[in-house]
Amino acid sequence: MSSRRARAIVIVISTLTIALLPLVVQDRFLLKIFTFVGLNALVVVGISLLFGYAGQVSLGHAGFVGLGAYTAAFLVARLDLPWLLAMVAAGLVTALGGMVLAVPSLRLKGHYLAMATLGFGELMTLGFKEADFVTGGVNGFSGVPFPSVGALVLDTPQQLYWLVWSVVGVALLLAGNIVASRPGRAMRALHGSELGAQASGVDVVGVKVRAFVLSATFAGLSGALYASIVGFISPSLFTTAASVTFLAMAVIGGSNSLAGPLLSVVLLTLLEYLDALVPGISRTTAEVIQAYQADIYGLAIIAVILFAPSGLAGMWRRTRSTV
Amino acid sequence: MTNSHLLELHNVDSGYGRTQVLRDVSLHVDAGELVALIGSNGAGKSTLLKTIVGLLRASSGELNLDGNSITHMTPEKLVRRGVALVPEGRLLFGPMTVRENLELGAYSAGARRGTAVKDGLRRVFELFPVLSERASQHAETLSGGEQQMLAVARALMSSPTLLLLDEPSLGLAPRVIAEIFSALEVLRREGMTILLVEQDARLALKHADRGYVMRTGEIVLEGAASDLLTDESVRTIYLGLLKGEGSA
Repeated sequence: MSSRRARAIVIVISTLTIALLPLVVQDRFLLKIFTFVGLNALVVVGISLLFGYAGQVSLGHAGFVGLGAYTAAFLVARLDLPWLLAMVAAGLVTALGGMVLAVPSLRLKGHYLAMATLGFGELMTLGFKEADFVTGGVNGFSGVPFPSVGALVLDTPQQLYWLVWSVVGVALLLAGNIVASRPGRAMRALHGSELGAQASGVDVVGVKVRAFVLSATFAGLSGALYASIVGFISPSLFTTAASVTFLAMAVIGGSNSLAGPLLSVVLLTLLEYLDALVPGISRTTAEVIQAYQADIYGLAIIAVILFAPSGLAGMWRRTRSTV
Repeated sequence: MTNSHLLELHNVDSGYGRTQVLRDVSLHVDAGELVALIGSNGAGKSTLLKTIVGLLRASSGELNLDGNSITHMTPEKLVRRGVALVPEGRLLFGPMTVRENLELGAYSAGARRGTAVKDGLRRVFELFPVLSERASQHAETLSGGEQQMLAVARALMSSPTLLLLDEPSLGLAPRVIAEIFSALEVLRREGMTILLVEQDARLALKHADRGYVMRTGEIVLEGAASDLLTDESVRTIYLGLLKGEGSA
């Protein structure tokens, strides 16, 4: 079987599974978990473009998720704007934020860029806490209405699940197109050698700015969707810990891949809800696993870097080439 | 006079941030020439190449290409104008295949990329047949010599009129060096203009029409390559020969 064909089969099967899941799973809580998987996937697809392909690290992406969430929440709940308009606005605001964060990336690399983006994330969290006239401060922002277009209100778990995964689908199509074409090659070239890319005529500034803008927009849309699905947001959701989790998912998934990070998002997000998913598991076992979640992520990252530097995607590629 | 030179530098100062490296550098390269730029480590040869392709900005002075100013042009614009650099240390895209590296070389062709890639590939595979055998291999798995060939080939993919090479012989076996220089000879016969930076002064001067000698950021000597090869100071300082010793 050619790897192209194997790929196509995997894509068709997973698309069908994801699309038809709500017809099989009726449990509201489980559907909510799978919706959260989709929201995380949206952020991680963006980070994969930025980090896995273009090689630009960000430890501040939760800041964009928050920015999108608060923008949408404020526009819909306080200014009574239509939901769809609020989504577009949240996308635009976070795109602008991505452009701002791209500026340090033009001068900084590696650890220094990591520090700058970390600072950005911390600043955003601080902003969410302090700007309480907009955000509600540490008490959070409640009463965000469900997504609606005209008279159509999406408020059942099934509808929300399909909404989120449709957006993920569009994002994946877009990302897949980018990485398979000229801009994607430019991103990988940048990752390989920035100077070499410049010498080959790649507009390095443009590639970096576009990668930051696109990944920030995906994160912002994820936040905006979260706000209108859950109805309540607070600064504790958009911390550096969340940024690290997103980056961990992308790293464990593997660089130069979209499928790997997608798989890693599914596995790592489900880990959080282990007790709800595995029927036999005792409450205490699940709690222990959840308590050590950050440590599990950390260990997983170390293991990936030491033993499988190209992550889940690399393991898949290796099995394909040895079979 | 201006129109006869393909590349022209007038009193160029350049460097990194506030550290000035190049002082008052003037040189020219005519169409079809192979010009060698020699000098010891730290003389400013790479800085000069980086300034020409726009990776560094000249703090003063003027750079002209074909009579038009390119003084503050970005690297990607210069690639489109036909200036290509084979950087020191090759700077290939390691985890990408040979073919992908070459396709990136044609990045600047934009919408015309389809035909540019096809023609370019045919040309570079003819020049370096080993690359066509390795087309689907990752660049990082190539030998040093093959990597250097790929670096040259990648630069050629943008169909340059002026090719700049930074230390193409560095760390390579003599047989491989000979292969790369014979490829440069082929390019020359096809009319390519080449500016070559080399630490191996004798090798460079043997292939060049003219040469410039750099020391601590300045051009200290220029002339026909054959004259430089026999020049007493060049011989003792850069060719490592003693007085009266014959040229090899």
